[in-house]
Amino acid sequence: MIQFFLLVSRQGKCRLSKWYTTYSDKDKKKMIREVSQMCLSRPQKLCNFLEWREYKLIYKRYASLFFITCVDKTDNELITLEVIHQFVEVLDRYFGNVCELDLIFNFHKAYYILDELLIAGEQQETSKKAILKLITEQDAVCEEGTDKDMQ
Amino acid sequence: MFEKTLSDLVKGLRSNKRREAEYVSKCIAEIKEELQSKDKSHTVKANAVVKLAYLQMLGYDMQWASFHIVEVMSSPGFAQKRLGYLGASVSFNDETEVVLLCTNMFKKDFQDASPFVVGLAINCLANICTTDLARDLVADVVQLMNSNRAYVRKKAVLVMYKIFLKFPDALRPSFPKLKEKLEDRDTSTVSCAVNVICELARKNPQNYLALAPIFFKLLTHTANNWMLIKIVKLLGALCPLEPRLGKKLVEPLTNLINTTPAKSLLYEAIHTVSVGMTPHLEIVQLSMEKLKDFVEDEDQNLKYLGLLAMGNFMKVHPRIVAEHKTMILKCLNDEDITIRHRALDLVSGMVTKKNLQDIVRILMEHVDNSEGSFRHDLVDKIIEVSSANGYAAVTNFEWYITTLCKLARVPGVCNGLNLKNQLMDVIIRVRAVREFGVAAMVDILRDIDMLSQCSRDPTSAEVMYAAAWLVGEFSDLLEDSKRAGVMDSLLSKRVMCLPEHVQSVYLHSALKIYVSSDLPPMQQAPQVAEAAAVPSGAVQARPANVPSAQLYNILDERLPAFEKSTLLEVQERACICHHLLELVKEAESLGSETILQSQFESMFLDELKPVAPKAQSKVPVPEGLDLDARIHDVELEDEPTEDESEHSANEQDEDSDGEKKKKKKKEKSSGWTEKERKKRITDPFYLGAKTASEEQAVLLDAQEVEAIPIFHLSDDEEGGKKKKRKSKKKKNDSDEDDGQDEPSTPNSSNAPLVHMGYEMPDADGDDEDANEDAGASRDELAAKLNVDLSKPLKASEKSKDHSSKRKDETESEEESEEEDKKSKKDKKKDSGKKDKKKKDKKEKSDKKSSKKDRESPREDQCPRLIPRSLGSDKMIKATYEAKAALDSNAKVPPVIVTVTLTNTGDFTLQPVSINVTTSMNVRLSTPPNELQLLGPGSSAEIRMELVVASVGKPHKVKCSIKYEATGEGAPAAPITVPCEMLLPCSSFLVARAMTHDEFNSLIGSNSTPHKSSAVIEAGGRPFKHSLHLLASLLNLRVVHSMDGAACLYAMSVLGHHVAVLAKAKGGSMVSVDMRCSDEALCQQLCNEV
Repeated sequence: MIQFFLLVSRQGKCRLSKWYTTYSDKDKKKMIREVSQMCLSRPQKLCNFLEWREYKLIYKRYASLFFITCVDKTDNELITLEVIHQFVEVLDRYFGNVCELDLIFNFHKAYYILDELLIAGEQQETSKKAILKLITEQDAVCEEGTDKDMQ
Repeated sequence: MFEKTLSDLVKGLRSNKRREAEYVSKCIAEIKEELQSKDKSHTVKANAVVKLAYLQMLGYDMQWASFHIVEVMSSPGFAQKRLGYLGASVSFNDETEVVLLCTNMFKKDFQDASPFVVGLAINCLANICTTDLARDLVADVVQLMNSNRAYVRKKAVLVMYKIFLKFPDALRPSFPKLKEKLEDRDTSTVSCAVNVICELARKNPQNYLALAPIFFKLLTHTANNWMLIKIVKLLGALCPLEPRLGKKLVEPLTNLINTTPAKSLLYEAIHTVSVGMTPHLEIVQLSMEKLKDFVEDEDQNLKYLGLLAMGNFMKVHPRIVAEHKTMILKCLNDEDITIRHRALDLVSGMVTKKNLQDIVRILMEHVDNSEGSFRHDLVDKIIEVSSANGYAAVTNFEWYITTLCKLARVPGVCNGLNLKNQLMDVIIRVRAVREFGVAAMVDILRDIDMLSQCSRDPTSAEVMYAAAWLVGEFSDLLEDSKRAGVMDSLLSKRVMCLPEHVQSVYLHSALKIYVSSDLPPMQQAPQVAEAAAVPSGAVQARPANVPSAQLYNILDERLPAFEKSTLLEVQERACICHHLLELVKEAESLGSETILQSQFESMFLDELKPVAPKAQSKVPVPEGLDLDARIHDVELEDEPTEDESEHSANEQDEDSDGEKKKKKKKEKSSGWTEKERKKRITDPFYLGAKTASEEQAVLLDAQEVEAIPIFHLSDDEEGGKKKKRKSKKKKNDSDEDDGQDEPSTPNSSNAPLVHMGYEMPDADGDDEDANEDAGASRDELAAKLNVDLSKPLKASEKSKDHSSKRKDETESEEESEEEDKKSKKDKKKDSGKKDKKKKDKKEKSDKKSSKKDRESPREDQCPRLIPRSLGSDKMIKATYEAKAALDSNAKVPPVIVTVTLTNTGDFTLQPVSINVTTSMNVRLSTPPNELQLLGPGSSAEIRMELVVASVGKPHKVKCSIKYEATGEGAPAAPITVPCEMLLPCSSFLVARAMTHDEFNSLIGSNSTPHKSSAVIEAGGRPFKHSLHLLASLLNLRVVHSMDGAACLYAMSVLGHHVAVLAKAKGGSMVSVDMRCSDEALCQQLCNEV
């Protein structure tokens, strides 16, 4: 099970944090700091896994962003990397060549996409196409609503 | 319409980087206003929430807005609702009070026509679920699993997992539904159900064994890799519990491993092999091949995973992993510390006698080249591999001590404590290396670099502690020429910068050295030689008093400085030491120094030996001493408590209140002592007072010293033999080259003895307690979710409505009532069983008293050995037979004990094992095997081999049968049946063939001087039968027999001759005359007859 999913910029700014286990705000802050420091300070070309507390951190860097997940020791590391990659691909297709700024100005959209990919720390959908379709449909519903308001 | 949008906020933040806090507080103030505003469509509020969510991500608090978030969540527009739910997901936690307001909103949104609204609600629930929400909403979510939209179904399935975590009671009633989803028409939903069950099964695999066939089917019928991984993982969790499943999986997994292009799936399959299918060598080999590719791959991730999985194989098949030694050691050079750690883990399994020095050399090189925590880990690993199994792999202890000293000198090594323990352990336990070790310690003491290192790294001082202590304790091994030098460094000014406990040891050691050198040659030779096995000639050659005067001067000169130390312990020791010196001076002036010196000498005469950590618990508490009794009754006035403050508030009703207060105080004080008592039980530093019966037991224990399991010091020939035998065995197992090498290493045959014994044995009971504790503190969550899913649902559980708390409570009450009834019944049963037990015991004792009658059987035509009863309880019965091994090549043939276990209960017992408490006289040479499974009504045998040290009397061996019952209603905890095994003298006899002439000459010679005789009743049987019976009872062999007389012979396992002459007497009697080379044996055998 994925314990939490973080998106951290190279400067250490948190761009997304999704928690699948409940922690207090204080703990969350501490964990984000600790985890992002560990991942950011690692030279490239090393393996993408880190042992941390009773968990494992699986992280991957895409351009200036670090996608970090924390999983149970027994979880499959490679499949977690796949999940991260899938998330990145969906983001990429949704925003069209995604960059950090997209994620800053539309951080809520990133959350929506993640919610279609994972629930309760487990993967719910394995098809990128299906996720994209669902998100665009929901966006359409939103648009409709706003249009109605306008009228 | 003039509010900032999210983009405005983000842009504003970017342009106000210098004064972010100021800007944010301004924004938050605006947001507060926006949240207060009255807009019907919640557009403004929703916008405020999304801004807050952004700020929250940057680390600002948004808990205060939770009520407004609930407002936005309940808005009719999808866009606003979406933002509201987002705000809730990122900010609500278990402490958020408004969560209680959400229950009804969730219920409403679950019913919404739009699947997206339902989806939003489910997503949010997965994030903020509390126990209350889980209980109140589980029925609704179960309903959603039936939805005709796959989108909703899959989300509902996954959120169930979260609900189970928060509200485990929901698991049993809703599991059937979840299981149904494994056969859903939508693959995503199936995949989600697999995910949930996989997570559950990983925590409590035993409850999900019944699902194995379904998953097996899925494994062979699906092509979805994502799901396959989960299925393979789940089956891996089940495998260790069900060996048959492992066997069945061999084929599909072999296929997977060979064909799949996906590395993740390949790795998962290998992982499953490594945790659950290790008995199947072929697939293990295949997996190791693949792992080798992983480790050699360029991809660091695969390298890491390869090493990680090898670690799993290492536990079972160290040899297969050791084949890749070179490759693994190469990984220690990797720049990635995660990989280095994994490679280091693997090192411990690869060490053998042959390669220890090589491997340690390589590790030492890394110690020099690495730094920080990895260096620390390397040093720990070196110590771990060398000291494993009582230094099994170390053949050259001088080398080991040199290595330890080298490590101690590496600057910045923070393993001082570990090194200290090793140095002391090795030099105390391995006598052969003591002299070398002491010399090495002297070097460390005199090393000025070491001292300066101590100021930088405090743990280095621990090494100095070891050095000082060892040099002091074994000061008689010091060369005379070095004494003054050692004394000088022990008392040098620089010592004063060491920690208190180290300085104390320095002073004490100085005294020891002085005392040991101050002995006149006449007295010391025999005693010291005895105490420390020093060649006595060397000691006598020492010129008396010349060095001691020098030492005296050093002490006299340096001690005053220590007497002024601010450290109490140091000061005290220095003072005592100095006063003793003054006594010497005085005695010298009176001319009575000889008497004084002999007194001095006796101070440190006894050798100190290691004491087992739990030996203290074996010391009986003296009678009449109550350790729980309070010495001093204190009025308890600690911390003002609630009731007291309460009391001050209601002061008008003083009289009655005063009384109440007293009462409360009383209660409180008794409560306090109770609490304290409990605390003491767990406190290792308290001696527990025992009840009278326990005390007696302890005293009894103390009397039966022989029965205490002491690890044998194997310095006698026998021990050496045993070692050799072991290595022979190893040779058979191991690869050929390994086997050839071992005996050829010069040291292996005469490796120094390691005395692994303790002065006092460990208390076994305590160990068990500790184990139980560890078991109890297992993952709490897993324990909660440990629900038997195979049981049919109770009517109360079937009720779908969990929403009303009250109903639940009444239910639980009912249940508890039911349970009460049950437990009462159980108690009754138990007491019945107890009676039965008593009966059993009685029967047993009856049996014992009537043993003689039985052993002279009347009825059986072809006599045979009657198995003795070992012990029994309501579920298991054990009998045993003991017989010396006939065909053993060992010098002392073992006694083979075969225990027959019969399952007399209704449960399947698994596993069943026997634990034998060995003693001075009886050792285990082959431990008892363990029964994996014992079905009801079936019986099976457990075999073990014991070696006895004496044959002169029957030996009692304490043992216990331990088993776990499985099945419905079986007791959960493992059950232990203590019992005692009596090995009669006849079981130490080995029937040996012998010619009549040899027999006659044996009788004729004086090698069998002891005689005894007995008469048995044949009970009307022909003499032949009696003879046969006698032979099989006592394990004798008939040498020669004629009508009415016969001679029989046997040899004891220790080589005593036993010659027996049996004659038919008038009537139905048979006289037995015995001649034996051991008197006690002779007597005992006759008694047995």
